[in-house]
Amino acid sequence: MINENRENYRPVARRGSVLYFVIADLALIDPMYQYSLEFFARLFGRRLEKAPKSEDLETRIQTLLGDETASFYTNICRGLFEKDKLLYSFLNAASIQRRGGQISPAEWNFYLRGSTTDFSASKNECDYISSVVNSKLLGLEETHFAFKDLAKSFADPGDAVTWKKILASEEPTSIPLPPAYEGGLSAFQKLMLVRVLREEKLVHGVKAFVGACLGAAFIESPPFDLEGAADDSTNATPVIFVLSPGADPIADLIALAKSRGMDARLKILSLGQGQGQIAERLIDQGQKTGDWVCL
Amino acid sequence: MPELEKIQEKQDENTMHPEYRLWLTSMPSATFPVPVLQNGIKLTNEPPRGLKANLKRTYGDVAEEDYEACSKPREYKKMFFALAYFHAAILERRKYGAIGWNIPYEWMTADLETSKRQLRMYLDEQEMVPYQALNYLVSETNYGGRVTDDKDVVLIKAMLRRCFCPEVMNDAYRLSKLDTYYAPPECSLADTKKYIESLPLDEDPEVFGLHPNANIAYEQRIVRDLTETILMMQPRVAAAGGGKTPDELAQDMARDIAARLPAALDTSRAHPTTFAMTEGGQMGSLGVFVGQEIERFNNLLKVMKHTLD
Repeated sequence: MINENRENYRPVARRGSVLYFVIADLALIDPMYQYSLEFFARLFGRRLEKAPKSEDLETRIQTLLGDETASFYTNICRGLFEKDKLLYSFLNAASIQRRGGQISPAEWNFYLRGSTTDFSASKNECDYISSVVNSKLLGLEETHFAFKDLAKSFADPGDAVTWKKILASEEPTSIPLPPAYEGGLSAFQKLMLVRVLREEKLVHGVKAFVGACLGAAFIESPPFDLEGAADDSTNATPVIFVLSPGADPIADLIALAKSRGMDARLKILSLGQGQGQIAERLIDQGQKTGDWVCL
Repeated sequence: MPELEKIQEKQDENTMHPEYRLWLTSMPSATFPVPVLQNGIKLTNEPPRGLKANLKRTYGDVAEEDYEACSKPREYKKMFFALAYFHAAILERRKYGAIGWNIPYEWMTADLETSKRQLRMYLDEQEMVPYQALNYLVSETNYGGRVTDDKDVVLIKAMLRRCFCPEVMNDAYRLSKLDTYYAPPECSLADTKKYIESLPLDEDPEVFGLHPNANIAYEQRIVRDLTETILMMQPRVAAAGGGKTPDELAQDMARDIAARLPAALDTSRAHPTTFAMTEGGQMGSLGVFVGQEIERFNNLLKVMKHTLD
């Protein structure tokens, strides 16, 4: 009985593992993107408790899936640089769909590396696309039946009008595909098509895919949230500002200290030669008196 | 850094004052102690991108009394805006990669601060606005000190000349080909900020004197970064593709290699001259060498066969 009930929650656990491995991979991008399993488990557990409850199992599971995914997004994004935020939400969306089977290994590989089959012998029957693009279209046809007759569609005078529009547009992702594909292709398959036809607009495509898969909130970067970080910190959990040239969080920190009545007890020290001992003393003292220490 | 790690390890949340908080600041660094990183809450704080955000930041740092204190208020305010615009433009131009600058220079707020001070000093001390001297100081000394590429030197001088020129005093003068950006007529600090607030969030490449196509190069770079990073993060085994799992792929490869392994070399079947003895009863040097190599090669085959099976 217990086992049976427990099994019902497996989708939530599966989502957890997908989310965790995306986070673990982030360390490959930047040495500062380090998150421990304990950190992950703590946050995961907290959301299990805090997410809205429901008597209906299916509702409860759907709430949990959405809540866990969203809270990790806001939590991790705080510590990511702007350029990596879209990457993170894309990896989340793609990993969830790959695990769920909506994206096949063949499709994922095509997206990353292109086709491995040699189509140079096949004839390009279309005068407005290059033979390179033609080969890629044939490659797409191989990955999934939804792409069937894609190259032929480019030669078809009716569809060609739409394709030409997509090739020339500033916002190719906002133009509906020819009818056979608009409804037939999944969000990821549409993204694969953008990659083939308009690679330079891929960022728009990625945003559209993430939006379709996880929701629009995942394409916007959450605002700088010092308050939230301060609320999550404890006397044993420090807050680490990861800086970039031109950024200075000290002013924000002082403002925060003021609003919490800590401004007189905020000790700021710039580390440099010979400052180590002073810093240690400040930390020692802070742990006793409850000061804020900023190094 | 290692000391910090020790301190963090030793601490016990029960004995510490509950209000104690530790705030750390650091540039991204591979030497930052990982345990502290993993346990901490990481926060990035990046300056917003774009010409408008940059101008806003420059004007946000200006104190009202400084802004009004110059003996030539009109000239100062005009030139100040021109300088702020120049600063923003050369920094934002970097996003176009090699189309913007041959080398991406790390100009800093300190360059702007120095130029601001010199501008004020020259305007206070001299009768006329010394355009030539200011051009030289700012584009050759302050900012130019970092510029090493000779083409970039030409560029930065040309860009400043468009900002630091007598025409800038004319309210109809435009700082770029576009109608949008100009040094506003003499007004208060608050009004200047209001004007900056009215600027578009994303700028046209023409602001930097670049062709609109420069945006394509910029977009391509972003896309390349995005896909290459994902590719780099993929486990290597998956590279061969197809609908198989990495384990199956490895199995297939192992079988394929095993099938192609040659049999061990048999010295008894060598050409009669290969291991022929000399008159003194010794083997020729070639024979010795080949014999040793065959022995090693056979060992290798044995190990390969063993592990592949």
